[in-house]
Amino acid sequence: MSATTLPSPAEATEPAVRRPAGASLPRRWVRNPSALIGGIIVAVILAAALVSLVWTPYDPLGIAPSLALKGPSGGHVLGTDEYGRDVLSRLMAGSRITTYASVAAVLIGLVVGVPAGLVAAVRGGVISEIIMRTADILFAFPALLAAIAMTAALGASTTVAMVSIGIAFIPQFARVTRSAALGVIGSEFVLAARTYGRRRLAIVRRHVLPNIAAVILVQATLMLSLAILTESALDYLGLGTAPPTASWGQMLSTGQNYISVDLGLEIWPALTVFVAVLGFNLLSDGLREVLDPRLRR
Amino acid sequence: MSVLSVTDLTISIGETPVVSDVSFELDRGERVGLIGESGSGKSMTAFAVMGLLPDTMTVSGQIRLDGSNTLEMTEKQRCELRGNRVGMVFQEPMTALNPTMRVGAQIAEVVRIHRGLRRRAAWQHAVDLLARVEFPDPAAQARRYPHQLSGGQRQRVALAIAIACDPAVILADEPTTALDVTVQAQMLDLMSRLVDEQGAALLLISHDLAVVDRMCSRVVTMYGGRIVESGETRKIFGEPRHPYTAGLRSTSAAVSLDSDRTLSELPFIPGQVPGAGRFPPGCPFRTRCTRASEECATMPPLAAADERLLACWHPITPTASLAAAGTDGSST
Amino acid sequence: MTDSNSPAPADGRAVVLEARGLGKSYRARPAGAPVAALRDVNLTVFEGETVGIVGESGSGKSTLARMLIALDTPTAGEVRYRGRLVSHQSERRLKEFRRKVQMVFQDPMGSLDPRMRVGEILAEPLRALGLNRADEKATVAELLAAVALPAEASRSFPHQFSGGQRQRIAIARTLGPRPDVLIADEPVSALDVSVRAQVLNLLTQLVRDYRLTLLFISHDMAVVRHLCDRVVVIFRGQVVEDGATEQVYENPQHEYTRSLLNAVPRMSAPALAES
Repeated sequence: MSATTLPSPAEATEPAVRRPAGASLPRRWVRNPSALIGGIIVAVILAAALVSLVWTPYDPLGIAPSLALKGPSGGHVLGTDEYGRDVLSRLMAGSRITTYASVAAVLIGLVVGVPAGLVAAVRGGVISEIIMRTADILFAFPALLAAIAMTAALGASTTVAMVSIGIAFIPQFARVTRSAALGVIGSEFVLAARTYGRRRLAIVRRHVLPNIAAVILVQATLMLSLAILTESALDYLGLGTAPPTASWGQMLSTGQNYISVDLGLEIWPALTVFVAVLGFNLLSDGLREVLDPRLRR
Repeated sequence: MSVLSVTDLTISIGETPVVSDVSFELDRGERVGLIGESGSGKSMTAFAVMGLLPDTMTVSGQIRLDGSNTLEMTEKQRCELRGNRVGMVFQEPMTALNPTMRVGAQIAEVVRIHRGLRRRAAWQHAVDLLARVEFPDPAAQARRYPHQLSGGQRQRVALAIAIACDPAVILADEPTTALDVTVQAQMLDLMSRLVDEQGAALLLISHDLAVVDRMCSRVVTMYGGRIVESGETRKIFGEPRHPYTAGLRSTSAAVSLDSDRTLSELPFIPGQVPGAGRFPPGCPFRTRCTRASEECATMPPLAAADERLLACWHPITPTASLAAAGTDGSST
Repeated sequence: MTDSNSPAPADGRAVVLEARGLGKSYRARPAGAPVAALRDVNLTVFEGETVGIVGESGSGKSTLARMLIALDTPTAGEVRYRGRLVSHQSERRLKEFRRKVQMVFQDPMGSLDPRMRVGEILAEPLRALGLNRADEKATVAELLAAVALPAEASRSFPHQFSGGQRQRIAIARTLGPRPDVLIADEPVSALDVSVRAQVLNLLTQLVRDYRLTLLFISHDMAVVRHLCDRVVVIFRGQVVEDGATEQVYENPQHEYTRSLLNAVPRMSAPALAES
């Protein structure tokens, strides 16, 4: 509004007052410390996992007894383990296992849990009760116990760990989905959609899913950090990935025996697990802020 | 003698002022109404008086309660004033009460904090207050929880909390807006009676001109965080000089039980209230004012004229007031 | 006791919407006593009428609105649109009804999907009902123009608009399917005085231009008086008064109507003369 030109009142009626869309997603991401740092950590881990498919500084499985238990030295940035294998290479290979197992576990939880939650929210009544009580029962079985049971039956492997964690995740996804979906279903814009003839399935597809996507994504990143932790714990207990395949949990387990000789063997995997879990937690927190409030104006 | 005196109050969020140079006074027993649409700064002003603005806002000026400037007080000192010398009633009865506490306990809490009464005495005081706000069975009422009460009943409890310690000033921010019309009438009568009984001053914020007309002897019109007109209610509503007041008056007269029904199109102030920080420089109302000119790029001073305070370069003069100037009845 | 003397216009206009013996009761708790939200409501709406349905909170007016637009099923009685039963019907049978009877809600933010752009929001009813796909863009532009919003608005999201503008969008949405009847449930209660007047003027104009029958639900007696030529007063789930606006406001028959009218705050100073 310059000093010389005045809008006539008719002009002042509408257009001038529309608010701008607000910062774009990438910009909001970068401005949010949690999302940014978390994002970087997660990216590094994913990169390590991908890169390790084609290259690692040394062969993670390459035994070299003469180089055993050396601290950081000549090419081995983080030292060597009890078999002379390069620690850094094993950590990178381990990130592959961890990423694969965690993502798969979360996917299992999602693929079963989200539809279950949706059905419970949309149908309500007896069906909802059945679904949610089943979820409660599943919830009562911690991933660890389920894993022990499965290992006893099927033998220790990454797949066993992954499936047992995935099953343990289903109830959480079901609950979060149902609760978020109920919120959307109760809103007036869904009511409005019914007044112009939108059918139930179309309402779920066009209105419910887009509005709960953010919540589910945040939940998924949170579950990923939990999956990493649980998977490492299972490996540590010998219930998951079997040696000699490199995995962080397993490195934690054997590293214990060499604490007096080379503390690094225990610290590096511990630190890696810690940073990975932290990274996903930060990402999840940051995503929650980046994705939601803008659209709730 | 004034019980509440606000001088040059300015509230900003960062660089953006949301309330600018607001000054007014309340004398003992006086009732002043603060009117304006949403975004005019009225609620901010009330919150500033209570010292309830978030730290992200910078406040300057003076707010004198009982002679001392609350803006220079510590939080502890302000806590001693809230509920004690100043009582506040908010708009939403649902959220103003703690759902997990019995209503009697919530009223009692105020007296325990400020008067140091023991539990039993405080509870009795609460029951007495519930009787004063016209609950037929106050002892039973005190034991109920907020969710067991209707909106009107909850608002009466809120009023009881506000007057519990005999405050000198009562702030009411849209106290009846969320209530049904029959309940609203009862509530206004009740507030009137209580304020008179206590000799307290009342600052009533409302977007409903009829409510202010009924309750308040003086009215202050705010727009864009500034006072644009203020004076005796009868004068301001009978012969508004500021185009904004005139516009509000005109629209509310057209949508009233006394209006001419043959009028198919309602007069309205064109446009809408800009968001915070989006008011034009100079007179904030100029983008919606049919009387605006180049002069309005400079903010007119709030000056005494025609038995009121007015901030306008082109006030509506007595002859023009008959033609409902300042509003635009043209189509959207 | 219904004290209804529903006026039957001498010019023999068609009955557009009719509620007969409508009742709705539900149990607040599974074992609790049933609560009647509506009891024996009879309402006949003729083509071209503007009917105000007035009541305070808990009166059942919103429940009535939902019954009339078949968003909820009555526990007694029936609702008919142009003689055809619409209560207790499957969605498939209601397709034509859903096209012809539209609703505007109270909350300008809540009734628009925050994740959809305005253009999509306006096009959705057309898509849902299988109409007009070919020139969807043109229709959207036309709808925006009808409510005095610029064409570029179609690319923005609801949160970028003010309350009054969102209500315009909500109103525009109802016009796409070219309805007969518009039911407005407290559409201006959440708006500021001036914006309220703008939206009311818009409604008046649209009712005229699109030849709509309007049901306007509100707690605000003054707004209803301005907008509607007939008033129905609801108290505790029952119709207590039903008549031409002039009659009801000048000469209310029922005590509740009188108490409502008395309670409305009025200005003491004489109103300004209109230009």
